[in-house]
Amino acid sequence: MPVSCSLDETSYTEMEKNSYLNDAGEAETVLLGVYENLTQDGLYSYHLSLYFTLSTDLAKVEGTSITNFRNVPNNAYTSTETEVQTTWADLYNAIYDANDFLERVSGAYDNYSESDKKLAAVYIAEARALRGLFYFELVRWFGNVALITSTEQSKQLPETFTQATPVQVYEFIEKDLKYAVDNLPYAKDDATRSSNSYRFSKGGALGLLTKVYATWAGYPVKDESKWQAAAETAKVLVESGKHSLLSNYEQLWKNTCNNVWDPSESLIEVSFYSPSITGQNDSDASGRIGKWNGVSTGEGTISSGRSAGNWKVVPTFALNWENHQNDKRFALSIADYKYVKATGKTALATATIGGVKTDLTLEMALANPDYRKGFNGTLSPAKWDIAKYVTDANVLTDANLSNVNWYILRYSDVLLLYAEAMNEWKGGPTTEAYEAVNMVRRRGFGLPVNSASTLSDLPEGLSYEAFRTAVRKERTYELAFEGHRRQDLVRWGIYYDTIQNTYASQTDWNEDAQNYYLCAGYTIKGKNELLPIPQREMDMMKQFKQNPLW
Amino acid sequence: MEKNISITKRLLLVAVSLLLCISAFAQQEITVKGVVTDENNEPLIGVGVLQESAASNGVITDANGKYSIKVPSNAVLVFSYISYQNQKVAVRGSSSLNVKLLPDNNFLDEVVVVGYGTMKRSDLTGSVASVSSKAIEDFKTSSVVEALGGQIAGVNITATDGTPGAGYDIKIRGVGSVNGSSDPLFIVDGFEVGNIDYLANQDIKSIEVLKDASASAIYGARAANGVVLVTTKSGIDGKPQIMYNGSASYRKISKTLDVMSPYDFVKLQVEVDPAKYGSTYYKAGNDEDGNPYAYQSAEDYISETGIDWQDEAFRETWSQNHDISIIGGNKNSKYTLSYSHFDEDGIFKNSGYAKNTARGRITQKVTKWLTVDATVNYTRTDKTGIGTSGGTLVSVLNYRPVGGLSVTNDELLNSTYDPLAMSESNFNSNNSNPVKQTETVDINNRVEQWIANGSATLQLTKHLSFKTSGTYNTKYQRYDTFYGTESSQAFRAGGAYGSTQMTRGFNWSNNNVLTYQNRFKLKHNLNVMLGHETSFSSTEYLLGQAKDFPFDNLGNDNLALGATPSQVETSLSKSRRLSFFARAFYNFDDKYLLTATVRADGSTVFSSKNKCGYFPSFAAAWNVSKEAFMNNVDWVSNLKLRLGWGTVGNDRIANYLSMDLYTPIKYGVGSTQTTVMVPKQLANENLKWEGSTTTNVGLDLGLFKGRVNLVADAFIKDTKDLLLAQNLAYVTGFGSQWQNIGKIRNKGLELTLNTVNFSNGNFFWSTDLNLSFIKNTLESLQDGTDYMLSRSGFNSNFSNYDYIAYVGQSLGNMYGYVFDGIYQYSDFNMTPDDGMALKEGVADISEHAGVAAQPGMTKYKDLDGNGIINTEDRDVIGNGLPDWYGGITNTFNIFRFDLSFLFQFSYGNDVYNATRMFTTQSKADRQNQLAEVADRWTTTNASNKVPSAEGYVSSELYSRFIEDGSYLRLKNITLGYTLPEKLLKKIYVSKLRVYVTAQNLFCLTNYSGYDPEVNTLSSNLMPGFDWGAYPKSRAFTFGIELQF
Repeated sequence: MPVSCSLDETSYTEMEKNSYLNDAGEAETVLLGVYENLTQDGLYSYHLSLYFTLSTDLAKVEGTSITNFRNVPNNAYTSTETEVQTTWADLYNAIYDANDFLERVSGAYDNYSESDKKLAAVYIAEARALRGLFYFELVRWFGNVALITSTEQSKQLPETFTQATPVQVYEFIEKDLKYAVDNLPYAKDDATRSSNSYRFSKGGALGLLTKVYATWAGYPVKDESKWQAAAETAKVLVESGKHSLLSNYEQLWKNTCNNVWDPSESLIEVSFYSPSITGQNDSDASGRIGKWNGVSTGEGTISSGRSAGNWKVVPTFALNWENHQNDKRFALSIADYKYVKATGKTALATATIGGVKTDLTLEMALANPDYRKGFNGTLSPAKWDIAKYVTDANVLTDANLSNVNWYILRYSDVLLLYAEAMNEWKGGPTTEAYEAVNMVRRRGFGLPVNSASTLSDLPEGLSYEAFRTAVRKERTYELAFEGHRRQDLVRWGIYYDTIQNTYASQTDWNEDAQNYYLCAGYTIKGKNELLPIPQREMDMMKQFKQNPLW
Repeated sequence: MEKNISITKRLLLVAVSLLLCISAFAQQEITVKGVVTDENNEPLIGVGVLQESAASNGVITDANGKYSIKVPSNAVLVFSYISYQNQKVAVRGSSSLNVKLLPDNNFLDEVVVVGYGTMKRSDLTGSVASVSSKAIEDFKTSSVVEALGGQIAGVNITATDGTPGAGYDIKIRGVGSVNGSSDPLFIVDGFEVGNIDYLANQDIKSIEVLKDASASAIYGARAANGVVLVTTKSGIDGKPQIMYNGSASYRKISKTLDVMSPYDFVKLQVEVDPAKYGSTYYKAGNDEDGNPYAYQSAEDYISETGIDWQDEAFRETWSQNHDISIIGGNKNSKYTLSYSHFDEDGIFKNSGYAKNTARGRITQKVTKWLTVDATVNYTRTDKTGIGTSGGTLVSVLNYRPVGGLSVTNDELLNSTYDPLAMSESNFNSNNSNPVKQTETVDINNRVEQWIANGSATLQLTKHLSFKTSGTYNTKYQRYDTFYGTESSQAFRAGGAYGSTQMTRGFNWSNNNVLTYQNRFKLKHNLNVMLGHETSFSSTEYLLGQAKDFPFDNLGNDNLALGATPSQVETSLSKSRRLSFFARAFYNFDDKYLLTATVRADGSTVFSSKNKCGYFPSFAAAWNVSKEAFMNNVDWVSNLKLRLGWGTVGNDRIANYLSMDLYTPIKYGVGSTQTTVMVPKQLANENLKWEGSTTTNVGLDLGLFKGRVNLVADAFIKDTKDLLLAQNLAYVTGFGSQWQNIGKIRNKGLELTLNTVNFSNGNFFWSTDLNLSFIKNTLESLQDGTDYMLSRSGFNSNFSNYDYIAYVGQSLGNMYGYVFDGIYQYSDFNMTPDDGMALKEGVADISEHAGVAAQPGMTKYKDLDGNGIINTEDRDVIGNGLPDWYGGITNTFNIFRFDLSFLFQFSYGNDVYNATRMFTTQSKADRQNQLAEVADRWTTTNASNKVPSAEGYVSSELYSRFIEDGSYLRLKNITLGYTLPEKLLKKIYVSKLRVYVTAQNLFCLTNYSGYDPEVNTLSSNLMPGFDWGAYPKSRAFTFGIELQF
């Protein structure tokens, strides 16, 4: 029968892959599509920034139960938990997008003009850096994952997928990131791209590779030879002189809350921005930063709606913050206030002192145990204080979402990793290691970064152990609540012990504080260092082995 | 009684007698006059009145049913009328004879619509069920589909819920698809339409359902789920008739659920969180001003009535319906005009549905060889209100019944959010006042549809005719949503906002059919039809949304009032189909019947490899009762055996699934939003039709001169290459891909029995029973896979899989843990350190629950016997598909009264009561619970049915919430009275009937929710799901039917 006449299908609203990526401009829209994955719930909008990273010695989830959203932060969940599956799915979807871009752009590359070829070469390096980042998150959170390197693999039947060893995954990440390092310009020197805002540059790739090596060297793979690789990679970045610390620590938070891109310290940052949100449209690229982990703010108090403030500071962290009177970061990190509709910025607790009802500050509570009760489970991180930092231009009115960005990697993080790696590699601190930590400390104390200061600098002559302890502490001061702590504790192999010790030491603050620190009761050694492989995946991929104790 | 005379024969007879009577001459004759009426005492027009054994003498009745005939005074008159029993009356010298004719239940002469043509019922070889206008006209329903429920064997109709204008799930012969649509194909007057909800009940002449593939294969690739053919009314040859039918209906909720009293609620809250709620509800002593607290102890709540939220949210309503039509014409022109208005004020606050339809149809015989027909149909429906889905109904059930010390009941009733909740840190802005929501959120869904059909029939030769037909169908939808300042949505978004969506659906279709019909040598009947069809459809869409409104009252009518335009979207999609088809019907001596059809369909939606599909069918029937050896078997009036086989398809999936596409999404870089492209899907380049093959064996049996008619059909329907969103491991980058995978078998038996139990002049009683048994089996899935999980996901906290499809079992399995009572003290041993340890042999839920097992916790059955409860202990705990279902209608005519009632029943289906699951989660803060929670396990009440307030795993399905959904419903009962026409004549009314109807008068069921007929997910994989279903109403209708 003559039915062959025009029954071809045409899409009127979407682009056919075969007829797209005709030039670098079109290629860039697809590359940005790979970047867009960073703003998914499963990645940095929520889970990898705020949700999975929450329970440590620094912070805990709001509340005294494990109901609703509190189960995951308290490690009280199972392999069927949706959020775990969402992150797994989002990461693999991001990897598919990166693979797809790499394949499509390689196919189209030969027809590009010379200038487009140059751009495409950078784009390919960016996509590989992103793929490296996605796999880094997969391997450190899930441990034993499938290595998908081409879109063709998506046609496989579920039971044919196998888990790669973590080492194989790290080697793959290393290859991607080394390629990115070799092919990307420093943000400062970038003459190819018209804009590199919130995009990978050489500094970001080097910094990420440093972090990958440092993680590879730690639990569970423990390939200690990688400390050297970490130190050497960081050294390239540090000695390039292309990146530096901002002179004012607070500027970091003003920048990130207002979509200001300053690549000198920001190596990898996720941009969240959506002008159109109405609370309905969650497909827009906005995140939960500053809402979920902000300063607790009642409904209708500020123009952007409430902040749930579900991150709470563990008070012993404040109690144990050495030299906090001189460390500017202390007050910039921990908020001893909240916002209330009637009164605006309001103290968390009051006490009657000398017959007068007085607002209590954290300093007062540190000094006097009697004033501490009101700070059980009420202190918030202060870095993403929307009411304080977000200007009108960047306000997003929504109960849960904001336009506040998220730092994945700051230069100060790399400096501290550099110091740590040097100490581990050499078996003791080197001058470079001291200098790296001290630069971070000086800036934190509001001092010139390059001038030695007895106020801020670490004492000289520290042993290997003492220096290691100092760097680990320094990471809490510099990077508090920024989503690094849990993975730091895991790679150091002390996650479980730290949680238990933190629980035990809560009584140092006051006798009730333990009631607010629930995760200790649910955390199991050798289990909670990794997330479970989602049950749905286990059910489908018969060759997969579940992570220990899940 | 004469039988099996075709209509054409009868008409011929009438015409001949008319001619002859002119020349008839008188011979000892008298003139007999009278009126012929039907069973309802309506005058019958066109009744043939013949003198027995003198067929040349005859007349027909006029528009008032009157006749006048000259006959010998000892003659016998025979009165005959299509689908009525012939009646012989001896004249005996009387000059006045009024005759009442009774319906002929031998419906073999009925003309049945079979797709691109018609057939006599006696010629049918396939399985075709018919519903006449009579069976639906007393239903005052928003859609005719509702009226069909329980009336057709093999057709299971389930309302989504009781929302005015709600959709229906129609399954013809079981569930034949997993993810593809399982709706039947709807054909109205020869053309496909999306649904038949737009038709007014009064405009429908008949509905035919093509059930087996031998009958439906003429519709090829779209017929796998059966075909529903609707024929609308057309004009008549005769004096214009004006008909009016008006009614008013009273509706109220048919059942309310018991929730806990304020006293029980307060006790629960204090038990759940004494620290938080210890002083919220009562406090002994005086407040700061020295006044005693209003509630000094929990016992003060015993007399507190509190707020009955169901009472606040539901109401009783009155609404009206009016149908008016004019029907008339002459030999060459026939016309009908009609208008209908249907209103349903919903029983849930501020919800409603209104439908207005207008229709005109004209048929004109232009020349001897050309007839044209044109129909224009306009429908407008308006659906309003936020409905009960998405947690609104659950809020009605679990909103706090009392304010306590800090909040008065009035404040609670009038605040968007519970003031107490707002003062708490874990304030959840999703949980808002449902009554306030109905008042502050405006949702209006208006659909306007224009359908114009036209056809021209050319009689080319005596045996050959050609018909060309076309349809032009546009549907405009405007969907307005406005969240007023006091709505929870506006609260969350920082101000009022609204959106308007406009959709234009458009399709046209043209078909050309050549029919050859002949009879050779008297015994060979041949009917061959060849056809061709082209169709096109498109959808356009526009969405505008704005926020920051200075005030609410203009709402959607001026979105520009919103200071910030926040969203704009448009889209366009098109699809095309091209088809060729042929049918041959051969009948030898009315004894041996053969039908063969074939259709070829091409469609844009499939991959380039599979654009076309071919669908053949064959059927044969043997009319045993026509055989000579049956001549003496008097009591068998009809016996026919049918055998059919055919293959049909299902192509109803989304467009573009076989294409590799980038889809645009938004990404904000810095403070600039840009459009970026992401891969949309894993395309499937092999995607093709879902194919379904049915073998059908049928028996038609008529006994005792047609007073008992039985139609029995047994079938096996195999569907393969299921269109299925195959779950993929997420490592592929995607959760699913559309594939053609697996096989489903539906086996079944359908019985339809009509009996005339009693019939004489003034008393008539008939019974129609239909019964269907259908067994569904999933035969296979992807290689290596023997089950498929689905997730209802009705609430964001509820993330587990709760339905499962196992190979070898029926679809619709509910999946979860098996409830095994409650842990009691007797399950534990005391340990030396005053702790408790589970006794040997008692399954341990500790690890699964995340807390150590303790008395009062829910106990699950340890199915794998390993001593602990884990995910391995989940199993099939119910199934949403019925084992059998059907309906029974009894009709009585007693003097001038008519009475009919329809019982609908369904047996063996389970309902997954998610509403109940959610409203018994007793550890929730500030939320009331169903009354059963009052009987929860406590240290002093060793309940084995309801766990303690904290003793369960949240948001997890176990068998306690799976309930038997079998039911027997008195769906409709109507009592009517037709006034004597003598009275009416004076006021120029030819008929006046008044009637009272009750719909859903009662429903016998063990289901604890509002109504067991529920299907809120409308998913093939997840039937019988009840989440926030709009409760069904009980309706009483008072109506009047007038004809001039």
